[in-house]
Amino acid sequence: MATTDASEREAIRKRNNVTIRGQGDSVMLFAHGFGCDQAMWRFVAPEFERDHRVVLFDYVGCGKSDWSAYSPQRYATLDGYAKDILEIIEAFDLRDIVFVGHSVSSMIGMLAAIKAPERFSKMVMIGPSPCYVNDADYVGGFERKDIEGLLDLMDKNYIGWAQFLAPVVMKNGERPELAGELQESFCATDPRMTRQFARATFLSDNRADLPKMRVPSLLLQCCDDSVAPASVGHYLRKSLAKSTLREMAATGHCPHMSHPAETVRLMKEYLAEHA
Amino acid sequence: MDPLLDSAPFGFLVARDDGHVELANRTLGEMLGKPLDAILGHHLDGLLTNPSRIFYQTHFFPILKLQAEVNEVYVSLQGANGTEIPVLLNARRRETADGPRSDWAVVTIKTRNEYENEILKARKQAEEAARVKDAFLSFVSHELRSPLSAIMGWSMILGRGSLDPEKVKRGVEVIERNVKLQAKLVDDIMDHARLASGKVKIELAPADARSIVEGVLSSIEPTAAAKNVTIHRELGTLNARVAADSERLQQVFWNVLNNAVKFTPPGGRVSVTLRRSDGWLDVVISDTGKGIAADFLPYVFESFRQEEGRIVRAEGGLGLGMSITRQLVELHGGSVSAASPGPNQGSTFIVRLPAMSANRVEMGSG
Repeated sequence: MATTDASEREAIRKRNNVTIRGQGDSVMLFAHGFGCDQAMWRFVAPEFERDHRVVLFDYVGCGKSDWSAYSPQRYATLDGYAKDILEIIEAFDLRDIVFVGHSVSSMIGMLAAIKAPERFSKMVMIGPSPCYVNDADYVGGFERKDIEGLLDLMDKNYIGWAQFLAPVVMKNGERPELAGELQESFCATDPRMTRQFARATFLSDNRADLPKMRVPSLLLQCCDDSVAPASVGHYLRKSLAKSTLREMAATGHCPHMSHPAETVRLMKEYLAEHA
Repeated sequence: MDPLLDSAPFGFLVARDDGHVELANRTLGEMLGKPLDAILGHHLDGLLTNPSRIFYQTHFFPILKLQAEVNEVYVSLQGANGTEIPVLLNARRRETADGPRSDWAVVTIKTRNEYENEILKARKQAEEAARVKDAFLSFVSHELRSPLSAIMGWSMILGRGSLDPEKVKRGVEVIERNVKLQAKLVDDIMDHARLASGKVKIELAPADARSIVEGVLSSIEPTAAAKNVTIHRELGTLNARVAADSERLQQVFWNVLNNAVKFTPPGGRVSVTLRRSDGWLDVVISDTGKGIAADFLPYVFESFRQEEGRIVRAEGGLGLGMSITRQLVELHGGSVSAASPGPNQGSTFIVRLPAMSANRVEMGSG
């Protein structure tokens, strides 16, 4: 049994490029958002390594994950990504987890926490949105045509975005042993996978899942977030039981990158208050 | 600002990490059709279209922050009066005593953008064509295999000998029917290939479309009667002379009429009308059958298409018939069109041919 566990763990580690640092009984599991990889946590995650086991990973198709493990069927919806998280939790036997998700990962984490609530102690959702597209009275911030426009824009950038994408795709695809040389390339993604991730992200509607969530959550809402507007933060606060909404001085959609100090402070305050 | 930078042939701006624009040159203002006051101190988001805003927040900003450099990124700026301005961006990040800043160079790419749109469109079309062709190939091999199985099965049974004459007769009938079916499939494929490579030559000679239609009707009527589909003829007495390759024209009418009967449920009706307009002879074939969904109408005459898998399975055929029909009619200098109010509301096909009066071919005007 032990050897099977070890080899399964190794398989998941490789697939999702799982990295574990720090010490402590409780676990902080950081999940990156659409468009980047675990590198986006580098200004925030180290601040928690003294008291927590900090677990980082890349979704399949992002960063230094195993791109050959990509399955269009599995990753057609956010459930497939939630499955990645549950499998990481299982493989590394993670418990008492503080889950930190950026953007779409807030919802992916929520889907995982609905399936296995016993593993999670708290959720931190940074710039979350249960639905990006406006729907009757609900203001998600975008129309469907904006999302189609985003897909077109991504296609355009994949024509000429050789700097990040083409060389990485080539190296990873043909000579996986060169993965170590890709240290300097951040947020590398395979265009086809990213396209599907974009669809799964921006056309998802998880509003009906919100009442099923039982794990307490901190919602970090930037004051001027054009991807997840303030109204969405308030909607989530009302719909999620045991949720705390903190409106940040930070602007934009990536406060953990643009305003790491404020992000860390609010997270630590919440964890202390809810210890 | 340095006057040289202010009027440089590219837009320039400096932004803080929180996205507020601290500096912008005159060229950028002109590019956007906005006064600099409307740019300076405002958030970058306001300069971008909605899709570009998402892209900026999810891709551009994280990479700029991690890598300190982003090159050749395509986005659309939001100009005055809601215009969209496609641009390429280069950006660099630098540390200052007052916190990090990013410097952006902005170049418009209107013409190049149109060109790239064409490339993407062509790529999508090529991908779609490849997909349709793959699907057709797997479908065609399945269709060709079905009659083979029947032929093979009965050959084996007959080969064993010692069958009663009734069973032998039935076996031969099944083999014959399936050979005919397969011959028709192979003919369609060959016709399609020859038409596609321009190898089909037609011999035009004066012909009477009415008698060709009547000939086709008499061969199709037994099938229609067996299915309880009524055929209504309104062939009239008008001059129905056309310049045609009679055999090919027969094939055209057979394809359209056979489809009409095939897709009309028992109790339904197929009507054939001849009419003349402006030097054209129209053969109008209407039915009360399955109809055609609006989004499939544009593809009715394309190769390798049949509406939805369910019709393919229910009615058989390769989906080449209508494509062959269109090409044959066009070789006659005519056209074929399809109309339908929608699914289950019947459809109308019009085969339009240049009419002949006395001894000369009138070339139609529309």
